[in-house]
Amino acid sequence: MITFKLNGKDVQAEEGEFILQVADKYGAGIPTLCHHKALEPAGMCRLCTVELFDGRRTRFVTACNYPIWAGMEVNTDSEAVHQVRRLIVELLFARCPDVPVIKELAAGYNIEEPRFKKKDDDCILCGLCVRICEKMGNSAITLTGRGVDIKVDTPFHEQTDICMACGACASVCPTGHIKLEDITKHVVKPIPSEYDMGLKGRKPIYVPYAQAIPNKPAIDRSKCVHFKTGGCKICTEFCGVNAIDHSQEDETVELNVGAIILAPGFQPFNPKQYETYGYSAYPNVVTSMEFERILSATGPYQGHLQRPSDGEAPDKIAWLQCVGSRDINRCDHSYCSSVCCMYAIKEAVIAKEHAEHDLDAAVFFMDIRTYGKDFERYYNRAKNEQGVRFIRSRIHSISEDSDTHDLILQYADEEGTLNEEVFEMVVLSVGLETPKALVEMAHGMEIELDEDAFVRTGTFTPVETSKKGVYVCGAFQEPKDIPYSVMEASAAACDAKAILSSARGSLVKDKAYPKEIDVSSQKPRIGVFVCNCGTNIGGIVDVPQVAEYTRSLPGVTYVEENLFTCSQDTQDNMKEIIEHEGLNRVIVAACTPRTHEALFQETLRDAGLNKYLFEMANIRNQCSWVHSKEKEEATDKSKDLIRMAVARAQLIQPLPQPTISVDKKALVIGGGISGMTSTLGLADQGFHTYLIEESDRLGGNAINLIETWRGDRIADSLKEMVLKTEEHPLIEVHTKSTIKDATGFVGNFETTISHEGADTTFKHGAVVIAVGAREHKPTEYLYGENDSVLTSLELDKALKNEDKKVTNGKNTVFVQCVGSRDSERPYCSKVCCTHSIKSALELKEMNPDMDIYILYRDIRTYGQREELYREARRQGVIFIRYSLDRKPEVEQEGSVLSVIIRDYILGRDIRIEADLIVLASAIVPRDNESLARLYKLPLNEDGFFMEAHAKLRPVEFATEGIFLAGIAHYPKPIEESIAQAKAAASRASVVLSKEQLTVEGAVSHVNEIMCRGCGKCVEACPFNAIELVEKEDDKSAAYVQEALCKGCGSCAVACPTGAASIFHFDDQEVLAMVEAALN
Amino acid sequence: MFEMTKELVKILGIDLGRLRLEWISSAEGTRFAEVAREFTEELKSLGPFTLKKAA
Amino acid sequence: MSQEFSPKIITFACNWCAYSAADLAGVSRFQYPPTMRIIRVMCSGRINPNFVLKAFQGGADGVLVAG
Repeated sequence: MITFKLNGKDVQAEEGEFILQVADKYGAGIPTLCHHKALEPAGMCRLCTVELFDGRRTRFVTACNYPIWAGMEVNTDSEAVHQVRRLIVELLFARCPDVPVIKELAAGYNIEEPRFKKKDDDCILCGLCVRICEKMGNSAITLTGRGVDIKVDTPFHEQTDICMACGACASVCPTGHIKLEDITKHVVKPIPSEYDMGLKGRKPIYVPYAQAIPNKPAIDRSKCVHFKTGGCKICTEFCGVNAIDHSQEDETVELNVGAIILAPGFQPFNPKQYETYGYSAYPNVVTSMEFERILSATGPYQGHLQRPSDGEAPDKIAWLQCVGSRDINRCDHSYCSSVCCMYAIKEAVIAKEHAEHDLDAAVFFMDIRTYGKDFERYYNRAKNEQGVRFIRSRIHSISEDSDTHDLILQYADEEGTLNEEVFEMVVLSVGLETPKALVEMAHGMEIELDEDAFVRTGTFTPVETSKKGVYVCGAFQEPKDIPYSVMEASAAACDAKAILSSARGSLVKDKAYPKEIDVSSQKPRIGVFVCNCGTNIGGIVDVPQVAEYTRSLPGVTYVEENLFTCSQDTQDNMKEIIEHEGLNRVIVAACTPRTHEALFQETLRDAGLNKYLFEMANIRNQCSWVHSKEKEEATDKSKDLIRMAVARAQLIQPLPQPTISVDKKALVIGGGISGMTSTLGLADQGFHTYLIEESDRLGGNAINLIETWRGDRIADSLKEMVLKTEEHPLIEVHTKSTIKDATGFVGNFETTISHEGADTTFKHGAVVIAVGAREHKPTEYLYGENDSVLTSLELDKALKNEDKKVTNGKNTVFVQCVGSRDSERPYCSKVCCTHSIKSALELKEMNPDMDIYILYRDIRTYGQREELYREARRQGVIFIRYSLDRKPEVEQEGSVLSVIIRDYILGRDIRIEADLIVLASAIVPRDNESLARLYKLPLNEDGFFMEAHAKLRPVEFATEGIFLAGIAHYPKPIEESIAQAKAAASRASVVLSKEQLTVEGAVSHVNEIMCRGCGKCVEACPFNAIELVEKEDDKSAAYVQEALCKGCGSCAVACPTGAASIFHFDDQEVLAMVEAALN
Repeated sequence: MFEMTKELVKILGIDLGRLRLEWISSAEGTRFAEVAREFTEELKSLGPFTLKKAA
Repeated sequence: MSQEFSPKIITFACNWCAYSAADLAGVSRFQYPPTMRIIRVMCSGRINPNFVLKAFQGGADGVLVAG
């Protein structure tokens, strides 16, 4: 360490440092034009001139390249210094009178006109460009000439091959003398950001996106200059922790595993290859993925809706559906991509919300396929309330008005009329496809793909690939949305866990902690660690000042500053300090507890402190990063945040984290395909499982079904499944049994079943609800009055029995959406379109002469089911669309049945005489109320069970330990029911595989003496964690089941007497922070 | 609960413009900054708050 | 130079929503005035009217409840 005087104050720095570096560190900014942190200083511009007193005399030196020595005295701000600098500026100003940065400097010294002869140069000959070019490993430019002719140039004034047009020279040039456009003949374009779909640029060293895991920058080797020339490495000099290692190589890591799960996803269809979409030619035609980025707050326009051509907010946007899907004419894909209708509606709705003016959003579609749970409602709302226009049409062409960049859409409507409409922006709803690389990977792994390049799976084995031990989930199996991808992911985990069950837990290492120190009788001894976070905090907030201030706060006995408080060596050090200083509260003033609290709490536990004796002050995310221009205010705010944290730290108490035991058994309610699948999934993983079925046999609705849409015989697979269930040693089947009572919580449920009047109680740790649903009994279309009007399931039964009445008819009419998608049941039953088309094809096979009509509203053969739809049309099945306000009518005259329907193409009513009418009847929930009440589970408006989160937790209930599968959740086909049932088993096994569950300490509790049993907290609790318990004196009091409590504190707010409160966030703690904040 | 708080604030004669409820999801960093800016501007126009003034 | 009035704002932020949004604002370097002091709570349902009144009583110029 060297000590010297800087502007009269003693400062310290390392030997070998230059004056400029040290002055910067101590906040005495010295102006410079030619200095660059990563380059050897050259002292070229002389602007950094300072006054140096060496004990005997005073002289002027350039601060950037003058090394420090002990005892020297430096003045950066004296009158003499400014006089010299003024002269330098004046000389530069005379040379370059029009360069903004020089003009600014001149203005700073009140120089209006230089005393010297003016030239019109814009290069100050600082040589920074030459030095950086050399650093890049290139040396393509140098200072040439002599005396007054000296200038920056290339050899022979020609750009050589050595110059890569990397632009480093242009980027460092202080005056703008070198311009990137002059160096390269190509249009200068930033590297397109992959995440922002090329709408924004990125650097060669970059964090892929804000939520990337790990959230660390990566170097793009194909762009980084170092990997081309071996030079540069400037980033290493800016990185304060030496984290950048250019010598790192790709590694091949070999892992020995027992199962593989493929979840590589999809790529969006690229419309570039097809001129018709105008995507390459017209800037305002974007893909739906690009539009997602445009809408995103972290996107290229910060969430402001604007179009690429001119940044103007569009007033009219069109979405074109099925781009790359449902079309075999232009080498796109024949399948339906399943998700585009829903995302287009979502984008239209959000765009309307984002738009500052009234936005006209129009969706051009063939069929709207909103078949998922609550999707139809969303569609109806978009249409009826938010005013999104839906236009059933075929797009003829897109062209552009070259002046305005508006787009002209030509389309044919349902009547076949050609229309034209102008939009300011067009979004292509692109489909999903398997990228080539994945096809190669699958071949390499010997995994069978189908004709659409998706992994081939079976209806009853929806996540198994053709190779044993390899499973698949998500869009690599078939295009699908988030909830079903999540279900399949858990289903794949379930299958993998079954084959690996013997190895479960064998690699787990238990960590031992020292015994917790009892701090209850100690006064708070608070230690505060203030983090610089490299320069992230320290570069803005005056950390030494903050630390000094913190020392003055009550209860604080120890304060230190760290470069990185989260680094491993600081953790080791922190542990020692806690022990050595006898700290009993620890505060880290650094970043956010959301990412780092757990790390520091772990260190506390290692040091023998309870993890709740910890608090953080977020001075990075809330101070230095967001007030970077206001250093003083950021410093003051940091002090405030620490003062608040100290105030709270005085009050926080150690909390126990009780453990509860887990009953390693499961109970599954419902013996259909879903229930059996969950049961087998759990039993195969080694968990004893009770299967409760209401009827006298297993099988559920599947008993009545014949074939899946892929042509598997259901009866055979079902038989096998029933047999396996009944013979499994770990499965106990109880038929003719109903649920009578249920109590308990995760890990410890007690369910009582009633079997022919006798009650039995089972203890178990998890529950799966798979009670199924039933077919709606229609009340229209002469159903029940005429024998020739059947429901889909009744048709299946008749087909099974090869009923001649069904197979010999001349005309068969299917009516879709019977009881679905109407005001009473505003949901789509999802399976009926596929089911009817499949039945139609079966009838055609039995009787090729039969005329078959399918009367529909939208054909919803999503995913690869689209192939069936195509096949049906190929075989001459006639599809006639109807709308809800003009439903078909069924008439009977004598023995003749006929259907009357409006034909939109012909524009008139037609009458079809029918021998058989099949009603595609809705799937309706069973009476789920009593079961829902017993387990305290929510039902949605339609009466189906409601999962914890529609997208991310589709098989769990908000109540822990209870799971959901099959059509009790929502109508779905067998393969999806099976995937969900396996997922439920997988999630349930997460609970069951634990010996004990650790309960969070920061939960609520009720002071029984103060509680008057009003039940307000019971109502307020969103997790059903509180119940009223009878006390001896006939009164009742609220009791918190800690295992269920999430610590939200709603009960404490609702409680009128103050009996309910919450550990770790109690009123006193919060009020102390409020008070400290305003102090 | 927020309604009740608002009621109380009103009873005390505190300008309701000084109390604000916002729903900001974890993805809405921009929104957070926006709210901070807006609210600060609003409070600047309302001027410093004193309980005396309220009573 | 006259000092411009800078209001004091107490913000109660839900850990899962607004507090994370504030974190993200930081990560994204969105600048906003240094007028807020954030108090983290586990849920916006935790915010007792008393907290708000205490803030005003203590001299806050504004209170933001951010769920």
